[in-house]
Amino acid sequence: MTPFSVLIVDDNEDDRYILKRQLRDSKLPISKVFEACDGVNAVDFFEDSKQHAAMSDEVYPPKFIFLDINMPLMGGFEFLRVFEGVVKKLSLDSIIIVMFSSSEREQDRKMALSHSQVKGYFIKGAYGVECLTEQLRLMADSNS
Amino acid sequence: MVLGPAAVGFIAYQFIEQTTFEKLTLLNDMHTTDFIGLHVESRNQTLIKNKLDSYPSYVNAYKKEVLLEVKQSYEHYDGSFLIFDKTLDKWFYKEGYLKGESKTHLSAIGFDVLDGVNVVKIGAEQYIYSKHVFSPWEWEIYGIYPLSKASGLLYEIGFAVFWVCAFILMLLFVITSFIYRYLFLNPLTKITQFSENVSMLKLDNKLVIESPTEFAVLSHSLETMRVKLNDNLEKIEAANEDLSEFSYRTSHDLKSPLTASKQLAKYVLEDIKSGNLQEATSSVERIFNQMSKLESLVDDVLSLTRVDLVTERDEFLDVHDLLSEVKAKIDTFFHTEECVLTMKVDMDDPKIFGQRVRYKQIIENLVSNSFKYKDAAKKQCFVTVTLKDNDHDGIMLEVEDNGVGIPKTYHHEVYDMFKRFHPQLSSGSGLGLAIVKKHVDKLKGYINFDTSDQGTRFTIHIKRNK
Repeated sequence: MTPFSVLIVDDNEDDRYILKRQLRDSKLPISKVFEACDGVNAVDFFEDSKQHAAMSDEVYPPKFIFLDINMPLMGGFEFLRVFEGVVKKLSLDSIIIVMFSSSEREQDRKMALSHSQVKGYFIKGAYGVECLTEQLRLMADSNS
Repeated sequence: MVLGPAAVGFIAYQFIEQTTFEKLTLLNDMHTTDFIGLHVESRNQTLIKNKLDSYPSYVNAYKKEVLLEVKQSYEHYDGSFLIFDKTLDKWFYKEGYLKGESKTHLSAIGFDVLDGVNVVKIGAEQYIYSKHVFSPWEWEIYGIYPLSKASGLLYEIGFAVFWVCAFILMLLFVITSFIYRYLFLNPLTKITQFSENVSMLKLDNKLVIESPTEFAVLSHSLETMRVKLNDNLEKIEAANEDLSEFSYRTSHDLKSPLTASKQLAKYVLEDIKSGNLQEATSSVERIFNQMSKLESLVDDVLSLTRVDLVTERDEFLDVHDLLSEVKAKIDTFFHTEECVLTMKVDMDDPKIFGQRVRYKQIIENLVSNSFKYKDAAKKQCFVTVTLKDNDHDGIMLEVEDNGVGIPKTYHHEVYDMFKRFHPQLSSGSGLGLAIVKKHVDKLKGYINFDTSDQGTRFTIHIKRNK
């Protein structure tokens, strides 16, 4: 597996920390973990083309976006809507979005998975590192 | 259908039968009296005048003339006469076949009483009769009228009455069913349909009945009921939606810190085992922060739910006391040296009457927001709380700061629950302003705000509770 980077979009710093630690434990070849504290921040990250120029192919664009749903200012669903435009503009359709939320609501899961780039839905605290690793591998394989 | 007219016909028949027989008997009697006067009496007078009445041959000749006249038929009268001559002991009838029959051989003539009417039977025919005695000639004269004719007449009248009654009843039936259908059945069907719809909570169809008046009135009140029910249902649905969103958000926000803390605690154990105490300490700090967040969320949720359930009594409270209580609380939570809190009271009567907790929560939440979202880029941060009389015999509360302000895009969501506009600056439940708004609504006051990157000013007007 070639090294890849990920972007974690979550307003809760502790949740980001936990996910980072889990990714570290997964032993997946992750070259870099980017973080954004909400949707606006994440969109800004993609639109900042100057910074991307300095990054290697291994680092940008990230292979995965871990996206929380409940965030102030711009939540996960609004981000998905805005991100569609960003994807077209910057041809980022290879990015795999994985929802990373505490919401167990079926309608949230359905709505998220109806989006073409959303391939997974993780409920915070309800999965182990092995499961996360396996799922990410599967998603990465089927997408390449 | 048939019984009604039949009964009426039968009763009419009985009645008419009675009167008809009476009339007929009377008529027959008159006719007979006339006959005797014209044909018998007059002849006898002639005999007496000519002094011939003691000569049987003359008398018999006159009698014979009368008996011939008896044989005549009358154009408009079905009656005729039966005469018994005592001197001859013989019966005379218009047909003449009884001529010479003696009284002892009167098998063909039978006197009888039928339904209280005198009848005489001659051959196969029955007649009603009226008996007169003409003594000078020793005659018994019976005016007779055939019963069959009378019965035929009666039946005809009976049937006519029957059909008239049948027609009237038919008409009545048609009119009644028409009235029933259009005045009762139609509105009733509409009302039934309407009630069924209402019972299934299908409240879109209007009920309109303009007549009759009673139904119009009923339909009007039912319609009012439908509209009110619909309004309330919409309110309940909206409230339910709010409640379900609220409980979803609450449980989500309650669960998140717990899930995170659980995972963090696991890491703390791992880190202690592996000797990475620095990481463990950091995780414990994270847990502490998560728990503090959880605590404040629970507090806010309780405050919010208490808005509707405040059981505290109204009391006279001095706004100075109120403000110092708020200040004391702010001092324990924020670094007041970084931001200057000023409180001003400009009221003729600093005592207000109301529930302390509402006023306290309003001021506390606004002031703590000002502290949380102070603008570190500004030289001197300040928060000013002003309480004064307004022009409308009420009080005005103003909380002004020179903080970061609320971004324009979110102005319409300011009082919504779980909304946070500067998540980087401070954590919180996103319930503060929702709590403030609910309290202001409960106090029947109004709130507005004015904000820019220069700062924010919330203004609240509340009527003095007397």
